[in-house]
Amino acid sequence: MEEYLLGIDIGSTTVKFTIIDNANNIVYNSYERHYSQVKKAVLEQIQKIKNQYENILFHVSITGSAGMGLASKTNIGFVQEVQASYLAVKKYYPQTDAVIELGGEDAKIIFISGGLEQRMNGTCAGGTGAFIDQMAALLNIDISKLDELSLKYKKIYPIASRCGVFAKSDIQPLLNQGASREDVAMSIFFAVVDQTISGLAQGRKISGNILFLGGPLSFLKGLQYAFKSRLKLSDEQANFPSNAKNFVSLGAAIYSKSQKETYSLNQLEEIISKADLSGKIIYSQPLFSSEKEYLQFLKDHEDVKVKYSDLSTYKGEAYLGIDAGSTTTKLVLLSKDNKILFSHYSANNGQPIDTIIKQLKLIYQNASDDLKTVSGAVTGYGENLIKSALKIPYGLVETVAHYKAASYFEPDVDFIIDIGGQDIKCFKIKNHAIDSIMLNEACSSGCGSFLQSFANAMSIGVSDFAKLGLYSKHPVELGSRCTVFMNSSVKQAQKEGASLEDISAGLSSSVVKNAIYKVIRFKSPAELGDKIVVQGGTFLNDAILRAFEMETNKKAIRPSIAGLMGAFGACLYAKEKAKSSDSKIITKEELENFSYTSIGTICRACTAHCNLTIIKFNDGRSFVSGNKCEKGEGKEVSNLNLNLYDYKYSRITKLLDKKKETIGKVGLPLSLAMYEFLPFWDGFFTDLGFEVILSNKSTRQLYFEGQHTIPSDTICYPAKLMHGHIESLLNKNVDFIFYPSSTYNIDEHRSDNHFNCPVVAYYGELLKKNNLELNSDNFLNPFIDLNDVRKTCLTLKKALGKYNFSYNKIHRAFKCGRANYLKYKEDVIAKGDEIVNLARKQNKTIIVLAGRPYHIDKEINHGIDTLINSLDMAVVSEDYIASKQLYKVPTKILNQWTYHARLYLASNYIINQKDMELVQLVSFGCGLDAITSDEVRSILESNGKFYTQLKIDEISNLGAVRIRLRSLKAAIEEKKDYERKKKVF
Amino acid sequence: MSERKKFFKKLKKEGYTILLPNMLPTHFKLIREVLLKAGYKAELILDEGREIKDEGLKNIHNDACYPALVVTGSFISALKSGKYDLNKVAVIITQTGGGCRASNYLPLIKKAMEKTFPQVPVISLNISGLEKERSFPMSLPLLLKFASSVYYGDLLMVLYNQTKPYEAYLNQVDQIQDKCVNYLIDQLNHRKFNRHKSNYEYIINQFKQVKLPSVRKPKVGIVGEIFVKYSSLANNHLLDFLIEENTEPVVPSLLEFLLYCLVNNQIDYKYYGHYKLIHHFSKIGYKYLNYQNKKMNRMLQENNFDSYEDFDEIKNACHKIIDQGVKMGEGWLIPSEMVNMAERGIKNIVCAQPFGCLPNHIVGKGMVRPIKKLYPDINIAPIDYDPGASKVNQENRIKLMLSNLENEIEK
Repeated sequence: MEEYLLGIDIGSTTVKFTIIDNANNIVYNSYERHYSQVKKAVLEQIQKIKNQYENILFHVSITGSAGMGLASKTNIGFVQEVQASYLAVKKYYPQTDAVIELGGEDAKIIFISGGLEQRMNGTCAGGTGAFIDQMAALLNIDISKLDELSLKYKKIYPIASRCGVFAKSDIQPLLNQGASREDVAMSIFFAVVDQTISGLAQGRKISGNILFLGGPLSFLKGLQYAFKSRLKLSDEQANFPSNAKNFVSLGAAIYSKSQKETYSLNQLEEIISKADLSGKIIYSQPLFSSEKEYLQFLKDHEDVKVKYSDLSTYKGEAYLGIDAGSTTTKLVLLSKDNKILFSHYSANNGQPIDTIIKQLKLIYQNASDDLKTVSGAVTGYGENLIKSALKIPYGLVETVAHYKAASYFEPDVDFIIDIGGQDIKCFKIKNHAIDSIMLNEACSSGCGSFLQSFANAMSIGVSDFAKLGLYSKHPVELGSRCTVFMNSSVKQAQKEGASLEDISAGLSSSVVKNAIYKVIRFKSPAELGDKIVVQGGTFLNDAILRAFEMETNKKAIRPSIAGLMGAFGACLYAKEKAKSSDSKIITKEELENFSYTSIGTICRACTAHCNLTIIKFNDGRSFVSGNKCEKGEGKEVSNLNLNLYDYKYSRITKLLDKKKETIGKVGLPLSLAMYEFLPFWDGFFTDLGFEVILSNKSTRQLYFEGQHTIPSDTICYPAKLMHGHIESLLNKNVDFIFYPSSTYNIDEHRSDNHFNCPVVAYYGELLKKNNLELNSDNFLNPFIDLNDVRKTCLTLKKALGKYNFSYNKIHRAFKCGRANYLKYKEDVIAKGDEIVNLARKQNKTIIVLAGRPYHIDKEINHGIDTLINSLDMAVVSEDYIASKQLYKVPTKILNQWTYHARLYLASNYIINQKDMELVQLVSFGCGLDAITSDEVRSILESNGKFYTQLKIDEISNLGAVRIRLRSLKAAIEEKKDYERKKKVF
Repeated sequence: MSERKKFFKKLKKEGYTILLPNMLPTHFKLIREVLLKAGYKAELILDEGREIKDEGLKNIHNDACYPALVVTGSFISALKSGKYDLNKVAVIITQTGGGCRASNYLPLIKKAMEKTFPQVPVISLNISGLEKERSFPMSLPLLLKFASSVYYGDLLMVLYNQTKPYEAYLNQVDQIQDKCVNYLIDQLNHRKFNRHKSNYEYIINQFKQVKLPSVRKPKVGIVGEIFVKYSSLANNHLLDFLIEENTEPVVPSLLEFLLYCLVNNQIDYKYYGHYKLIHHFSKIGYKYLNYQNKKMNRMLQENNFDSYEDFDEIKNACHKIIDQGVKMGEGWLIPSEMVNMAERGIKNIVCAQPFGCLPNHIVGKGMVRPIKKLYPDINIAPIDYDPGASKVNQENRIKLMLSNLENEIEK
């Protein structure tokens, strides 16, 4: 009998078959989605071709991440998928230098010439096919449309490329601000490319003949363009084979040759159908044990309802509330007696203005002439835009809107949890005011839209998908981390044959666990209080609500309008605030003639070069967004005199005058520890007669320049930026670059030990080894401990051996450095005192923005300092406040890092300062802050202070940050109000 | 009597059970026996259920390192299991006192315990003078017995790893190992625990029962963060997986880590003038431990078994790749071990690290490229571990590395 080769590739979403006949021809290729039912899909494929190849025996091998389980259960040969591609490349494209393959959830790279190296994305890296799917869903178009749009782009926006969730939080606000979909589409593709370069190539240059594989790269012209342009490839160098989709199964077919065993398709069918793929998955309790239990559950939750009234017959005053959320738009029109006249809930498809205008028109058409919309309020990401476009008198921060709505249903609510499409918001209520706010950080988003994307991948509507879980007997345990992790857990469950019902139930409880353990960080149900209101569209799914109640062991109140709470709250707010002097909401006539255009541009007011989107309305007004400060709108930045961050940055970059005659140039990278010790090294080297050259200011562009030398894609952004600083110094013709390694930081005598964090301490070693242009001649990173003058001087003398300095000369320079450093510290303290005094005179709240020295870098803090200023508050830094606390403070944890000790000192100081609040800046990926943030929180909260944490990364959009800071401001004011009222009694 | 003395006297007198986390089953089994012998009731936590990770997630900041999460989770789930009298149980954890987060495991565990089981004391096992009131009282005889447990554990580990892939019948090697552990316990009870030479001989002879083939399976090294590298609970049974995949795992000894810590004291003296007094003791300690290491290696070699590498060699390998000043976490030890493995012809290495491990950005992932530059045919797979990372993803990446073996053979 003839013997053919069969390769089966089972990926995260699809099953691919390739058959090679005995004359080495590829005779069959197929590509089908498997909708999580791996075994079923494979069997269907076999049945389809069974008759065609009746009298043929097959050598078979399986490949793909979801195929591992099947292979081991059936004893069919398995080949790792990257290896399979490599086999096929070797045979069919031998002249290839490197292969880039993007699959459903994996990204791979194979370097062939110059040493074989095969690599896959790490566990924390989306940015692949599934990511593109997700982004297309965000725009509410299919992928081919996305592709089509992208080719008409004019401008690329920077989008965080590390992980899908991050990119999403960059893209969403762009859309909400009205950036064109063409530009966003192409920016998405460029983000994927950047992800590939930074995450996969990790320092190895991609050049020569490149073969591009995998589904997305085979049909997305825009993505092909992005790769070609970023990698600067000619048409000849970039190869997009026509059989890209089946390339891996082709490789598996080649591999199958090495398998001795042969099967007829009938035999294969039998073996596979017998394979027991269930087994190792971990199951949890079903959501409902019986139909009866479910009915009881429905009954328990039915009585939290709002009354409705007819729009066309209602006469009198009405209030408009709009919640322009990240993915959805909610709109409510409320009567004077709090009945809903009109409501709307829909995805905004990236075009919130259009969605709202359509609904407003509907309202105007159907309302009686006697209905008067007297006031209105907008909340949500799109607040400013909608407010300005439609002339709505009030805007309020979401947290306040949600609290207003929740307290309508339960005046004594203790705890509110809102799970929306993009974010989870939780707040505790104390004394009828918001006490603490917890928002999900960019990483753990997931939430509603995760469920949505997964349902889409399964071609089911999201509510139907969630419903499936209600009847699952064995929900799969999927863990509670970010979406990328959940995706791979799902993959694993699929591999082991879990049913769709079980996966659905598992996902619901994952979403809930994410909220409870990642966002609320709850330890016992008692912490939530007794009266819990749950809201947000996601909670309308019974499975989610049930999972929440099971996990917390508490009964929750779910209003029937759970998805509309923000808009409802906005109505209530507008009603409360309405005055006759309010501006008039856009009229029916004005609306008929309303139109707008949006243009993207770059702000030239400072070096931050914000990407601005300017929306011009046809009545001549315009709206600017994307700006981080008022300069973008052509105004002056307010309260800049109340900003210690800004002062510190300009003070530290002010170098000493160089000596008349210099002996050489030393390059200092303005990054990481240099943000503390630049004055020291400036003083030191200037005294020795060097000219000190600083690296360029941090920008996104600078980051890209160093990106190819970053070995770890999960390290913090400040460290990643360091690579760009080194590149910029290499271009400045310095004699050498200096960045010392320091296990020990300076001892400020107010902590148990005085370490640096491992990254700050040893980054020099990493740089030296990963940037090929550095060597021990042009890069000096001696190991020093500044506390020991003698040793340090000896080490420096040795490190600068080439220049033959005497010990005394080095020692004198050390003293100059120290004096210059101490002068800098004094200046910061003096300026801090000045700011605090001024703020107090003006009765302004003082925010202690507490982070690390390098957080004064504007590319790292993304202008959060000026944002705080624009909210009419003063900004001071943690090191300044820490200087007020003269003694070590007691901590529960080991207080062993110098910079971190300042956080504890600062927290301890402000608990006695009525007009100060602390906001902690945490760089994403900073493991030490997992320890410090809990400690800072407990110091603050045990003394009745708010704790606010802002997680920052390469994401430059401040939408979520603004919400937090505004909520904080609202909470501070409420608290002041409460205390004032208390005094009366 | 000091508070501390009173406390530990009470532990003994009232029969408190001290719970030990299970990082290395054999080593820790022996350590437990030593504790029993010293009059403490001690128990090793062997459970590996899902609830461990769940409790960890609930009680430790989710961005904290994975080892802290696993250890805390296993303590809390053990305490919740109902197996122990909650008023007479304590937990113990080691503390190294370096600049990495790991020194904060104990305070983190303490914080978590205060919320869940405030009555349960947390004991620190350290020699850096941390946690004065609750640090385990050491005596020289006890220290020597702990050290012996480490030698025997290491010996059993190296023998297990090189014989298990070739056992004649299922669990042959596990049975031999159990027999040896029982023998050692017996020796402990007969005050012969510190007779290293004869005990080594006994153990080595037992393992000679396994016939090693002339052509061995390809070797795969495991390096990385100490807990994740060793603990099967944390690394999803990495060792078993590698054996199933037809390879012979090579795992560095626990002693190497201790020697590394001692060398760091000397480096701190050399670089910064720290530890003026201690560094003399660490020198003596180093000499003694390394002498023991050499003795064991010699015996292994004489019996045609693979031994551990001489630590002086590993120390020297460091100079090719990284400055010895890098000493947080596993610091220069990881790259040195990788270089040393490369030189010994072990071309495939799994570098196991907790997700987001800070020192590993530098010494793990950060050193892959330079090591590959020195040894172009080496394959290093850095694998991240955390409660959410799925086993299938990790195994897929290891399989990718192993498939390079096939390419090698083809060449």
